Amino acid sequence: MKEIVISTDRITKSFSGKEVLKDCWISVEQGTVYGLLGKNGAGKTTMFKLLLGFLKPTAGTATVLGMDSIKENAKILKHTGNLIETPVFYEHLSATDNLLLHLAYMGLENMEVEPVLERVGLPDTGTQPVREFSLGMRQRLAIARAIVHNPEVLILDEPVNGLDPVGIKQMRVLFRHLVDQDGITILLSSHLLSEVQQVTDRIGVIADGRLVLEEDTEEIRRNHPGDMEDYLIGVMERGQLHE
Amino acid sequence: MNKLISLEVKRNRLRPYYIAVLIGGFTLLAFHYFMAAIPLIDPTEADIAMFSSYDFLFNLNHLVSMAIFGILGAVMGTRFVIEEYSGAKAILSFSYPISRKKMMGAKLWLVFCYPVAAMLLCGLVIGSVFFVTESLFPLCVDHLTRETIGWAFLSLLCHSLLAGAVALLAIWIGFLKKSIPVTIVAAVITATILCQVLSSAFSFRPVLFILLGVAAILTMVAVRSMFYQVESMEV
Repeated sequence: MKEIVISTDRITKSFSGKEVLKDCWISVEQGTVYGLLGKNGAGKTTMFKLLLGFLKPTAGTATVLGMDSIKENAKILKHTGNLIETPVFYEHLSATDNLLLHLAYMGLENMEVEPVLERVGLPDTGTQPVREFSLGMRQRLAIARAIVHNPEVLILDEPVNGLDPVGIKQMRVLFRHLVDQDGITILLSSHLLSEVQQVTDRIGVIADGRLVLEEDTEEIRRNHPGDMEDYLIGVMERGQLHE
Repeated sequence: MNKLISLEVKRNRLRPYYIAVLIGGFTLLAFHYFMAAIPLIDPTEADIAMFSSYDFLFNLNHLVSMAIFGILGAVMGTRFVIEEYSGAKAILSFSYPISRKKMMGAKLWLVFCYPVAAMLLCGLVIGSVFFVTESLFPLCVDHLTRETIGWAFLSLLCHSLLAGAVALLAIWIGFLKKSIPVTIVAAVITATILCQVLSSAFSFRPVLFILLGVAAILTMVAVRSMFYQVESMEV
């Protein structure tokens, strides 16, 4: 069995007394792509923020690479790349400068950023400031920033948001390459179920703050040939409890 | 810390603040000469003796400078601190494997040092230009002594530090609500209060040092409070 690199143990998060996540647990094996699904407001982004230490759990714990998300937050961030919500950049700087600045904050200097920009489909942006980028270009740059420091874990919230079909396919290939060749572990969320089916090794579904399904993608595909998408939508809507 | 400060400078554009300092400097220089020329422009002015004194002229200039540079520091703070910890930008700031306290410390240090250094520089230039022209074509009837120059410099230093304190205190108040307008209004009110207190005690110099002491204590409380807030912040 592979090592578990991302896990939560009965994690609960409340905002003003309202529980957004309830006794939730997930576990992601090393070198796999885990897709977290759920309706809007189901708690996916909250889960990602808890893992990255942006939010403190009301109860339970979140662990990344064996480190507690709160107590060892800096170490986790050093080895993790993330894309949470709408990506924010230093608008007056170019894509290259944004990445170089990110690397400097990560304590990594003298690293080449051009190959990464090429990898995400953003070559030759030159000195063009990010404020002139389209939504798709910004999303590509956000993914470049998430991977530029060679993280061991990627936590990506809606990574293909705003990308055209070509971009979506490029990212799918990139994610699989990162996992299969570089051994990176990816936890992502997406509303594009067809994409999730194609790129993930395992799928988790959150409904009303609870994890109601966690299963290998291949197994779901085998058990629901031809109607996998309908099955997943049904789970999201009904919020069936996972046995 | 130095590295964090240089990264702060890199990620934010300082050009608008350089331009603001230049405009502020020229305005203050013009204001200084205008005040010094009042006895010549209007010899019937009731407070003519006051306007002819170097002490008064420099105190007045330093008070106005303190208000201008304090508010400039607060405006800078809205960009460097308030905006950085509001909304999605906070996620970016918290994504780096750097102590939140250290990151905030670098921002606050920059926002404190910039108005202090800018005011010192402008004050030194204005003072030097004024003393040179006074030695050639005097506008004031007052005598230029070493003590006058020494006090002018000490007053400039104290008012510069107060300008930095105004900026930090305004940012503290604005940070509670993460609001840019609150920060700027707080800077205007703080600067106004300081100007009122200091102008009513021009001739009583210890007031300046007492106020500086109070401002130092309040600033330390403000910085500690912001450190605590940023440590416990959830985004």
